[in-house]
Amino acid sequence: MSPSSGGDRGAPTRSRAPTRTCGAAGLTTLLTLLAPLALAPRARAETIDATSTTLLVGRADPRDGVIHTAVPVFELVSLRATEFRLRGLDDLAVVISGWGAVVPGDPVDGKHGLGDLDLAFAEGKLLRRRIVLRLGRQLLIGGAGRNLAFDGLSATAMPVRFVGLTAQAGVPVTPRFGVHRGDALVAARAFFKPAFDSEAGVSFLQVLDHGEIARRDLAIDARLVPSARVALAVSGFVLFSLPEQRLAEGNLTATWQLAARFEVSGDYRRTAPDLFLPRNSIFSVFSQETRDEAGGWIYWRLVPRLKLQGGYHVIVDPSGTGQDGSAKLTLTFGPEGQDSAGLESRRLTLPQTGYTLGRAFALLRLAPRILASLDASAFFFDADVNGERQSFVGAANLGYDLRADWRAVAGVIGSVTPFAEQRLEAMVRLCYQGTIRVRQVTP
Amino acid sequence: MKPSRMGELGKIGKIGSPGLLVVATLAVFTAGCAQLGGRDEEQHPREVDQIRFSHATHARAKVDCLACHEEIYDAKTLEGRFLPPESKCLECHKDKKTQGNCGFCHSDPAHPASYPRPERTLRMSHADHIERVKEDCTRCHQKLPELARTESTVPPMSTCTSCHEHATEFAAGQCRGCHVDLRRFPLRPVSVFSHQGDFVHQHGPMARSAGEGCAECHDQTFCADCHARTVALPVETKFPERVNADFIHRADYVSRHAIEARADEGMCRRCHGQSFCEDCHRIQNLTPDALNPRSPHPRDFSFPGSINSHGPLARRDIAACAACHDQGARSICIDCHKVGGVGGDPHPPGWVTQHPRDEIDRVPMCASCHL
Repeated sequence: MSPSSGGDRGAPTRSRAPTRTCGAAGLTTLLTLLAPLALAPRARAETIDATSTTLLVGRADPRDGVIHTAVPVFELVSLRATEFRLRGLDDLAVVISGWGAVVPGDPVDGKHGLGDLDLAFAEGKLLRRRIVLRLGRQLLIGGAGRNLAFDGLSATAMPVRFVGLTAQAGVPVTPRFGVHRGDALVAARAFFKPAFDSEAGVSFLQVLDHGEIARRDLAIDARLVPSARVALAVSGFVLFSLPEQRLAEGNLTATWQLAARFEVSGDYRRTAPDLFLPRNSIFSVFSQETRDEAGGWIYWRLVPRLKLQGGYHVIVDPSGTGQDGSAKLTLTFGPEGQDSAGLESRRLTLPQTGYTLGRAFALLRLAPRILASLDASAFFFDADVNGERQSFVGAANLGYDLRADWRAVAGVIGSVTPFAEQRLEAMVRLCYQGTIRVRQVTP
Repeated sequence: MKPSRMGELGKIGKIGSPGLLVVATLAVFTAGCAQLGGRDEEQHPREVDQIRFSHATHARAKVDCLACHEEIYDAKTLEGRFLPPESKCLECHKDKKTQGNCGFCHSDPAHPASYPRPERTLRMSHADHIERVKEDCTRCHQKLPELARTESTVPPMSTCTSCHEHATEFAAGQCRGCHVDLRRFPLRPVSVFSHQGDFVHQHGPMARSAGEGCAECHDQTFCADCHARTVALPVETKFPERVNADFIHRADYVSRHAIEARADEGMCRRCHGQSFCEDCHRIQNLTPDALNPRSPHPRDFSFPGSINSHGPLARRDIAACAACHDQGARSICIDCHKVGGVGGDPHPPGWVTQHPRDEIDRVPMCASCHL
């Protein structure tokens, strides 16, 4: 198995940062973390929510002018086991989500076996559910986390009504094909949550890489519904890089649901793209750039079965001004609105480049157990992409619901693109999504 | 320089001859379907023996509820067993068992089993309720299991709210007073309330600014469906039939990835880093590490002051440079931009005001250029 790979160069004094894998080392860490649960003799789950997807893809893979054949088989499994009985812990649950792949033929990276864990943690509550503990591989989503995956411990406590503190410590996970995220992570967020729809927090995150600071960020976030009478929600987020003393990211969004069928939102976002690089990267010393984006979105259900979504944003960066506009019209029809068809368009204009998208799609329930989807996209580029100005992609899928929890899907994708004159991909997928009751009780 | 266009429909047979595809497809289907029969019967209790019982018949016989469910009288939680044991049934129906008439109670007499243990999803004290309703169980339990079980007999939430005012708790999202775990049972009123309009487009900023609120109902597996960090498959490949979803990399993303990155490089950088770019560019011979490297840059890219000089591009889009060239101390930039090099000082204006000179001695990275 060759799991998560990759890694940006960290400390420049190293000739090349070693490829960090989540496989052997990560698995060992995880097993160590989860060992106490396995040793608990009375811990048995009664309910398991499971999803399983088996996917076979056959495709022609163009690599610098030569067609290679790849026919990978993927297996994705997700389990959430609940209703453990373990003294001292309430609501104990174990979550595991992972995947494996066998790649016969000629794989891109030469590896014929791949696999990794996306999530693998145990979660429980202590002290009459006042403290929530989560141990293992998990995501850090809110606040300064930027959806960071890590192996470690997370604890959330709400000692006072509406007020809570959450803290994490562990080792960042290097995503497959992703950025090496460092060797150690500590994070904390204090939050005030007076209502379901309102929340405010202050958070801190530090990531170390070989003892050097890769990230040290402070964030303030809030989502507020100012009045219960007006369906207006305002959310904002500010991320400040402490080593650079600069704003790394900030956004402000206001969403106003004027009527049940009409919603409008406006947003402004500023980012400093160079601050997305680790602070210990040699490339962090070359630039101090900012990028601004402002615009709005509408959602309008014109009639009960026809909805329009559209948006327009202006983008400003040191190279000039760009525009990004899009619209999508979706019609639902058939019994209980289970069929849909739509049109979509996007126009992205940037200094010296850009493209226009035209797309049509349909999702049809041909019979109670048979589902079909069609999708056609056309791209028209403002400047040459590999000497071409157009790209066309068409896809068709046919699904069959074997049972309530099972579905099989077969599909083909044909394309004419700047990088492949003609290309065809085939895919077969079998997926399960259901709940398994493991144990029964004898009176 | 640009790579030639490639591929033609005639070569599609190389994907794996049709025979291979058919065999592999059949194998996957066979494996999956082979599990269908056994797995469901073994692990879904609804497929195995059920206890056949008619509440209506017993009510007509004026059997009091508490005669069978006596433990419920003192039950302060739903944890425990409140269905009568077999011995309770035999108090009246012993003759059926002595006659060997197991089918009187068991739907599958050949494989008799007991009650499935129901999942407890609420915090509720029967002890606190029974006296208030004067032991009239039908105040809440208006539907009870009968011989033909076709629908849920659990009292709906409206039964609770017919007595309990929960408007304040609902508005405040304080659901856990009653609900053990909303994640497995997202409540329709809450979902409707919070996910109207163009929620899919807005959920990202919302999750960052109200993460605890999302976690009330959603487990991390829900996020990982689309945002998994180890990237087995693009989500568009994982759910190809979801054509009405707003997926980022749909259709020919390879051809437009440079444009998208140019539009919002930070967006790419959230998930992808150097190795993601480099692995693919190396195969396409676009990096210095490739077997047959060729530069994707214009000829005058290295000449300062030229129309295509790399300097201004690096100033405004340094993450794009780092995507291929960040080899730490071996980075190509250092060759020219180290102290005394022909490239001159690469730091942006104002750099020295935020980075005092003694940082050179403290930060190992600085030693790459400041020898």
